[in-house]
Order: sequence, then C-alpha cells, then structure tokens
Amino acid sequence: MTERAPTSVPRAAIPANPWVRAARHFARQRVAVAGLAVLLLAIVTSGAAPWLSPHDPNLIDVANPDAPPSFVHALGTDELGRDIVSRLLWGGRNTLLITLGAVAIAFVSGSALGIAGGYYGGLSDTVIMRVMDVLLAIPGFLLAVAVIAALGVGMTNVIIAIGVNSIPPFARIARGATLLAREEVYVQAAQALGAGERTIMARHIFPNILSPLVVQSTLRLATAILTASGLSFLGLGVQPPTAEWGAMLSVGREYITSSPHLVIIPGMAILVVTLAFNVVGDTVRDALDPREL
Amino acid sequence: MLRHIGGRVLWAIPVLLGVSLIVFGILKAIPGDAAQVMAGSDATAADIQAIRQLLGLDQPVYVQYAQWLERLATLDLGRSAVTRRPVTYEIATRVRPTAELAAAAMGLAVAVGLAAGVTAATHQHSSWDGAMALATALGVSVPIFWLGLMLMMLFSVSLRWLPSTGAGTPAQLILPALTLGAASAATVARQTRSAMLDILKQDYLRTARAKGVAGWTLVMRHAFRNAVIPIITVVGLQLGYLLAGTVLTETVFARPGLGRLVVDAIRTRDIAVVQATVMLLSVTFIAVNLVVDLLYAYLDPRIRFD
Repeated sequence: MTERAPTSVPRAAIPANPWVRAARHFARQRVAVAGLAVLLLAIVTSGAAPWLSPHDPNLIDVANPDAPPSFVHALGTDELGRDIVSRLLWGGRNTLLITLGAVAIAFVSGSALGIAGGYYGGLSDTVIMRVMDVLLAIPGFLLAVAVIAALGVGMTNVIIAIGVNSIPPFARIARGATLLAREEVYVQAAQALGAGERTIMARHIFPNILSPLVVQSTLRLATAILTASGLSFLGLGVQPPTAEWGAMLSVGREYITSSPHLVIIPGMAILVVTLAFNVVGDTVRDALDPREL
Repeated sequence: MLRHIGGRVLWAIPVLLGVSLIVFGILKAIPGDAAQVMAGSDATAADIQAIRQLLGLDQPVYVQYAQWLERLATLDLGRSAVTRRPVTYEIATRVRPTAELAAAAMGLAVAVGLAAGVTAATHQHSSWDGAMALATALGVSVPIFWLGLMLMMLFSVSLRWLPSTGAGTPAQLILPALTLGAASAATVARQTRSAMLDILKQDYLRTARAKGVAGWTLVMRHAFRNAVIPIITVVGLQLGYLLAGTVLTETVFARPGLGRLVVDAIRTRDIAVVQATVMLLSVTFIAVNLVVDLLYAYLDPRIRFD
C-alpha cells in the first residue's frame, strides 16, 4: 500500500500553506507577473532617485526651456529648463511615498478598528461601524478634498487625507472577518489558556484574517495613487517646485499646445503604475480567494 | 414592504447628521476664520471681532453647530466670504453644469457598461472578451484629469471638432462626459460581466436552454433580470465617484459647476461655500443610494419579505 497510482496532480504539489499556494497561482499569471515587474521597477527607480537621477530635479536652466530629447536630457526639459527624467524619478518617489503611506495608515487603523469592533461587539462596534458608514456616505475624493481644506496643502497632509479616506473599507472587511474568527476553536483555546484580549486580537485573529486585508490593500493602492495625483493636479497636494506626477501634469497643462510632452509623460507614468497596481491587485484577489483554487 | 422602506428612510437620518457633523468639524479646523477673510487684510481687530459676533463665531462650537444645522434645514446658508452673495445663490447658479455633467456621464457609463458587459459575458473567452478586459483595465486606471487633457488635445486642439471649455451647449458636454464617464463605464462593464457569468452558470438557465429558450430572450429575460441587483449596486456607488469626479473634470474643462466651486472656495478659504457644497453633494449621494436600496426591494421580492 505504499505505492499509489500517480494522479494528475500529485499531493505534494499542493502546498498546505495558503500563501505559498497563492504565490504559485500568481506566478502562473503572466500579465500579473509583468505588472509586478513594472511596480518593482517603479519603486526601485524612484526609491533610488537621489542616485539615479542625472540632474538636480529643481535646477532651473532658463536658457534651455522645452528642449527636445538629447544626450544630456533623455526626455528633454520642461518649461523652466528642468530635466524631465530627473523630475519623473523624484516625482515618482513622492507619488509612491504618498500612495504607500496612505494605504499603510488605512491598513493599520482600519484593521485595528475593525478587529476591535468585531471582537468586542456591543456599543464600541456600533459606534465604530456607524462612523465608517458616515465616512462612506461622503463621496471618496470629495472627503479627501475636505480633509485637505482643513489641514492645508502639503505632502504629509495628503498622506493623512487619503489615509482617512481609505479607512472604512479596511474596517468593514476586518470586522466581518473577525466576527467569523471569534467563533473559531483557536480563539476559544487562546481564551481558555488565559491569553489577554489584545494578544488574541493581535496574535491570533489578525494573522488569520490577513488575506482579505492584503487584497484590499493592493486594490486600494490604485485608488490612492489616482487620488494623490488628482489632489496635486488641483493644486491641493504637493506644491511646486517639488516634483510629483500630478503636480507636474498640472503645471504642464498651461503649455499643452506648445509642449504636450509635459502633460503626456507624467500622465503615462501615473497610468502605467495604476494599471500595474490594478492588475496585481486583481490577481492577488483571485489567488487568495479559496473558491478559485 | 412599508417597514422596509420606513427603516431605510429612518436610517438615512443619523447618517446625514453624521455627515453634517464631519463636514462642520473638518471645516471648523481650518486655520483662520471666515471673519478674517470677510474683513479683508487691512481690517482692524475690532472689525474682525464685530464680524465674528455677527456670524456667531464667538459662540461655543456646539452652539455654532446647532445654529448651522438650523440654518441648513431652512436653506439659509449665509453669504460667501469672497463674493458676499448668498451661498444658496452661488450654489444655485452652479448646479446645472454639474447635474448635466454627472447625468450625461452616468448615462454613458450605464449604456456602454451594460452593453459591453453583457456581450463579454455571453462571448466569454472570445477576442471581444479579451479586448473588453484590456479596455476596462485601462478605463479604471487612467487618471481622469489626464484623459480629459488628452481628449481635449485631440478633439479641440488638433481636430477642432469640439469646444474645450465652458458649459451650456451639448457640444460642450461631450468631452467632459466622456472623460468623467470612462472609468464608471469600465466598472459597470466589469460588474455586469461577472454578475452575468454567475447567473449563466445557474441551473435554471440550463433548464431554460433545455426548454429551447435561446438568444436575446435567454440573455435578457432569464439571465439579465437576475443579474440586475449587483449591477444596480455598482451604479449607485458610481454616482459618488462621478459627483466627486466633477471636481477634477470641471477643473480640466473650466466648467463653472459645483466641483469647480469647491476648489476655488478652498483656495480662497470661503468656508461657508465649501461646507454647503460638500454637504449638498453628500446628501445627493445618500439620497441616490437610498433610492437604490428601495429599488432592490421593488426588484427582488426575496429582500422585500425578508
């Protein structure tokens, strides 16, 4: 009985760890792998902007505005003679910093609120979830605009505005998953062993409800980058002369007829990165959805 | 049924109060106050104090909130600190361009989204389905302000077919509506496709096919009617996206609507105008989702009698 007829899928090929399973599913999707490669490239190049960028992004060269691509300026210069490649790299750094920072804030606070609400139930749950309902009742981008109105413009405030704006979906998902997890045997076992409430929430519930939160994070990054660049485009986000993709586009807009590349290039950058976030997010969702496997 | 409607309508009241509290609270946090903006830069401290008293800004915050709510209920929203005209006037003159834009974008999103979604679902794995997947991925990823500028460059600057700015004529509505509606059309198409695919797998669809129902009747009468609930949900939520998106679209196309009004008012710290506009857009969104909720019960008896 030690030998069994080989089946089409050998048992050893399906790992027990759901994360490994998801990673394998992900690796099989070529579009998603390409999306991930684009994201890594964007993160690495903009992270390394101080070393990679050929010029100072804010160095004005009035003698050389709107220059076409050349060996010195691979993508030409902008209306003030600043090197576009350098501004794109530094701009990506700021855009991605805002995006990742905002989603990190939403992930941490939304998960904490949702888990606490779901675990404790009762009044705290009601209060938390009703506040989330109210936040969701204000159209998303408008809420970010209103928060900026209160806090003022600038990079930190944009991160906070988009972070606040993104909390409700995390809180809802975490709460729903916690309500189910609370009834599980491992939680009851931890309670019986005398684990504290915080330990149960942080060490037992959180790791077990992580996958829907990860899915939400990756999809939320796409919304966050569009909101961030939109705020800067309106002049409510990152302020000139700081390079940021939305802000670059906003300035380039005034030269749209004479130098359309000032609008086209940063817009393409936002589009490509957002598309990559969406493709990766969709695939992560499919990969972590147990029904699909 | 009546209980269901009653419950939903009652539920909107605390949400509205909550929204008003947030809008009031956020804008209360703005550094500097309306009195200062109104008085101008060369005003004396006594002038500012007088205006503060006139506006009730010297009262405790909760009193100010209660007074604001009371005025909100009677649509007495005060005056713009910048133009000195009543806020209701400022808003009333801006509602039309925004309403037209949001309605046109929504119409476009629903028409294109439904048609594309149903076709993709009934032709799953075809090249049409693949093209749709690509188009919707681009649609939800493109920054709307950039799409607007690109369309403007193509149709206004190069081809000179359509006007790039302003509001009032149908021609001036086309580019903004395309810009604003694109992402929603993509979202509606995706939701329609997946809802239809779910339904097309159901046993009763197999039964219908076995009975000899086919083509348009099968797709529309048997499948689509059952897929309509998740689709309507997405459409209702998209309205929030569209209303907020008018802020960007109206900025790109210099359309004198509510979205443009909010941005200008934030720049000039015209707090009364910001409060009133954000409130109006949120109330519209809540009202539409309330209607959507009620529509579920009308369309699906399972919800009505639950």
